Amino acid sequence: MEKDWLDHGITILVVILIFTVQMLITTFLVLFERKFVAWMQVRIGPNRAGPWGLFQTVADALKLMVKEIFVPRGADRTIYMLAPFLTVFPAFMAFAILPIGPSFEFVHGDKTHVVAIQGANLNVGILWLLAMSSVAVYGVMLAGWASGSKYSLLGSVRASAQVISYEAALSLSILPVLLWTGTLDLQEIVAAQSGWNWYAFGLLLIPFVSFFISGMAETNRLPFDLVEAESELVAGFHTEYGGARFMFFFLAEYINIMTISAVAVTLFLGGWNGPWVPVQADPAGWQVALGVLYFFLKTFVLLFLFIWIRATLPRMRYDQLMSFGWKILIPVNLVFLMVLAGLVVMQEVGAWPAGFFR
Amino acid sequence: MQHLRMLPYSGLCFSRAAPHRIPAVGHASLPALSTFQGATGVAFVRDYYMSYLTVAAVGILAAVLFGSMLGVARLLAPRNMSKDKLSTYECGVEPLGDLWSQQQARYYIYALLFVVFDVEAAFIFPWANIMGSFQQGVAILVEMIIFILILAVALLYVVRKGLLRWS
Repeated sequence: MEKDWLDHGITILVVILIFTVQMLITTFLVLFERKFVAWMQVRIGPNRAGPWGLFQTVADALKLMVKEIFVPRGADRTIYMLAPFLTVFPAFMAFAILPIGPSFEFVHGDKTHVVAIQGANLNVGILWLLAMSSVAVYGVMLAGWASGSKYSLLGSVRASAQVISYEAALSLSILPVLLWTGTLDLQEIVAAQSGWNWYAFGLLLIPFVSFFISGMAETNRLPFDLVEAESELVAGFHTEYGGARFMFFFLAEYINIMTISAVAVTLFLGGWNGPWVPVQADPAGWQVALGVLYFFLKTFVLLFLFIWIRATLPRMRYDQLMSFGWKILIPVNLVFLMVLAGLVVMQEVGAWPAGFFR
Repeated sequence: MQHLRMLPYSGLCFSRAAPHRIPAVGHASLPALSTFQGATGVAFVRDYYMSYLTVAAVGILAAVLFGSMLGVARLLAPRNMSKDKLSTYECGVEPLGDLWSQQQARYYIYALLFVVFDVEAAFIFPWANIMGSFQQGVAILVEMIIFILILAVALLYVVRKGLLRWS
């Protein structure tokens, strides 16, 4: 099946579409967070810019863009300017390989074209996600280091230690999915969860919870936001940033949250699977649309969970954070991995009924 | 993916069909799940690089977006530098001492531990990928449990040494 210009054109269109949708959702995510947190604290929240405060983020971005751009005296110029981009970049790259909806076919001329609602289907899927979450550490680390400020440096050293600690837990909680499906291909992982066989509803609930917690630590969200603990570190690694560059860090945080939620949906919550969207060769148009809707709906539920937890829990102490990661999350994941491997082997030899606990 | 095994490039493809673990519902009639499915020989390799090119395009798109936003900001933003404005923030007073201050060596432990566990993950990933397709499942399971236990001993050592305590 040779690819022609139409296939490449479709790919480019899909990439641009996914990118735009991601940016749009991020923009409104900032507003949703402020609204939800406000309601949970019995406030009104942003309500001036546009109806229901709908343009608040746009207004904020515009305001930040007309602020003066400067590089502080003690900073390492090149790295200081590069760091904001390094924090956003991996989040986009990770999102680009997630399958957002079911693939469908259409006939043009005498050829059948397959359209996958996914930027690119890398055959190393999961490994790519892990690689990108590792790269994300550099942005925070370099931003703090290059600012040449004591607060920034302290924040970034903390951040690096925290993020690499939870990185280990994150990769260990992805492993069970890989073990259970036996493939790194994200499309196949989603297909394996068809029907109601979502991994989070079965045995893999433990890795899902662990993934979510580590994801929260990776993105420096509230119970784990020691990186920018205002009461101790001014603003952590982005103390010396202002104007448009600060805006990038701000956006990056939300893009990262969105990406982590979407990855969790793909790996544990069945991706685009749901009622009336079967895994089949040629889904109808409305089924494709419904699948995409399911994907974003599930992502939104997880995003709401992020916001809810932020409004509920206080910040952890640094030693508690570290010992939670190393003494609880990682050992639990290791033990679970061994138990699951045992179950897989038992299925192979027939000592455990196949399909049980799927 | 059965036919891929016959290709000279099959080493590039990490996917493995596991019919016994993918539910029977619809599996036989799955759509072209992989971009590589159906492609042969040279076309397969071309598609392989094409998929990375697509991801690179996303990166370029991000770069263009952020470059242009910064460019617009550069056009709109005022420019009025002064010595005080460019000084490093230290709660309003003149910055004291070396800007790159010393850090606690304690953070170093986490870097070492991370290397241990990341290398561990690097070994477990390929194992987990092929685990289900081996005939000698029990043997490789026992081997991996021994490997994980050795690493667990490393973590236990660190905990018993009190290196994760902060007092």
